[in-house]
Amino acid sequence: MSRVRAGLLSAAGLAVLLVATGFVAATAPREADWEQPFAIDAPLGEPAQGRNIAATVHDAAIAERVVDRRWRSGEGSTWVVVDASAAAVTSEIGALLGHAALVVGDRVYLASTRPSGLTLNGASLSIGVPTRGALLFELPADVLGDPAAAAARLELAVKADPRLDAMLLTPIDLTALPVLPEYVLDDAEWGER
Amino acid sequence: MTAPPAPPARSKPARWARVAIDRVPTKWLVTGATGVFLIATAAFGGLADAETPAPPVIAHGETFSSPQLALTLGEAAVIDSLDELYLDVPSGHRAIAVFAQASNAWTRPQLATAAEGGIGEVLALRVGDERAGAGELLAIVRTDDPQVSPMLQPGVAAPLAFIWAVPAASIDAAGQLTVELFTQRLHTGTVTASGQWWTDPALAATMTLPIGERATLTAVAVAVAVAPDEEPAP
Repeated sequence: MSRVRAGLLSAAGLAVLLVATGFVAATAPREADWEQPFAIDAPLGEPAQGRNIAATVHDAAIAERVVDRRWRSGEGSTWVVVDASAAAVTSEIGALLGHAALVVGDRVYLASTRPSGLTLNGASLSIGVPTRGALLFELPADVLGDPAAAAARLELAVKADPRLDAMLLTPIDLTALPVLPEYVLDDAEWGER
Repeated sequence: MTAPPAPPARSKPARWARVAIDRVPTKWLVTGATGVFLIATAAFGGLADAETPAPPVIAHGETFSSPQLALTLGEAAVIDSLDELYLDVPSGHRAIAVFAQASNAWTRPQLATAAEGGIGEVLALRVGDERAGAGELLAIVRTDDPQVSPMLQPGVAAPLAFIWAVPAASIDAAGQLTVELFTQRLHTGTVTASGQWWTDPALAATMTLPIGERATLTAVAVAVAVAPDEEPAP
C-alpha cells in the first residue's frame, strides 16, 4: 500500500514539475523581448527626446519622384518624404542619426542612401543645435493599397543597431499624406529647427 | 516404469538455438550484421552519395523567385573598364557582368555586397572550365545611380550588375556562360548571435547566357564619357 502511495506521490510531483517547467518556458522573455529598444512616442509635429536623441518630425509627404542636383530617382516607386530635425542630448561622440526606418505592416524600409544630396539619414548630431533635413524612403509603387499603410511607423535612433537604446516612434498614416508629383531634395542644414 | 513425458515439441528447438547462439562468438554476429547492412545498402546504390537530380534549367528572361529574392537576368557582358566604380580587376583576369532586375522578396532591407554571405551567394558563374562563385565576386552594383553595394528595400525593384573577375583565357574560349542560381535559408541567430540572415545556398536552377562586350558598366557613364562638349578639331 505504501509503495502505491509513494508511486502516486512521485507521479504527482513529476506532473507539478512539468507544469512549472512549461510555465517558465512559456512566460520567460526571449532575446527579442529583453533587447527591445526603449520606445518613446514622438507624434508628428511635436518635439520628443530620448537618451541621446532629441528630434521633431515636422511633416511628411508622398512623392512619385525625387530629384536633387546630381541624381534623379526614376519611376516605379513610391517615395515617402519626411521633414525632421534632430539633435544630440548628452554626447556628440558617435552621435549620428544611425537608424531611420519606416515600418509598414511587417515590412521594414530603411532611409534611402540613393540620393547624392545630404539627407538627415546618417547626419551627425550636435548637442542642442538641431540639424534639419529630409528622410527619403523608397517603397513599392502599390504600397498605399496595403491596409497597413494607414498605420505606418517611423523609427529614429542614434545607433544603426537600435537595441537597448532610446528609439523615437512616430505613427504616420501614409494614405492621408499629400501626394507630390516630384520632390526636390535640399541638403540637410545644421542649426535649423 | 514409464518414460518421462516427452518435452513439448517447441521447447527443444528453442534450447537448441540457444546453445547454438551461445557458441557463436559475438564478433561473428557483429561482422554478420555489418555484412547484411552493406548488402542492403547495395540494393539502394551502396554507400556512395545518391545521385542528385540536375537542377532545372530555366530560360533566359524567366524570373527566378526564392523567398529571399526575385531575379530576372538580362545579358552578360565582358566589361573593359570599371574605373568609374574605382574597382580593380586582377591581372590576367577580365570582368564579367551579369545584369539583372532584382526585387527583395523578404520583409527587411538587404545589402547587396560582394562580401561572403547574403545576396552575393545567390549567383555563380561557369565559364568554360572556370567556376566563379561568391569568392570571385568583385562587386554588386546598382546600374542606374550607379552605386556599389546598394541596399535593396523590400518589394522595390532595382537594376543590378553582378561583376566577377574571371581568367581572361577561359572567357575567350567560351562564347557563352552558365549561371547557377541559388536559394538560401533564413537563419535566426541564437545565444551569441542576434538577428536574421540568409545562408546555406542550395543550387536551384541554371541558365545559359550569351556573352557580349561593353566598354563600361552603365549607360550613364557612357553618356557622361561622350557628352562633354568636345571642341571640334579646327
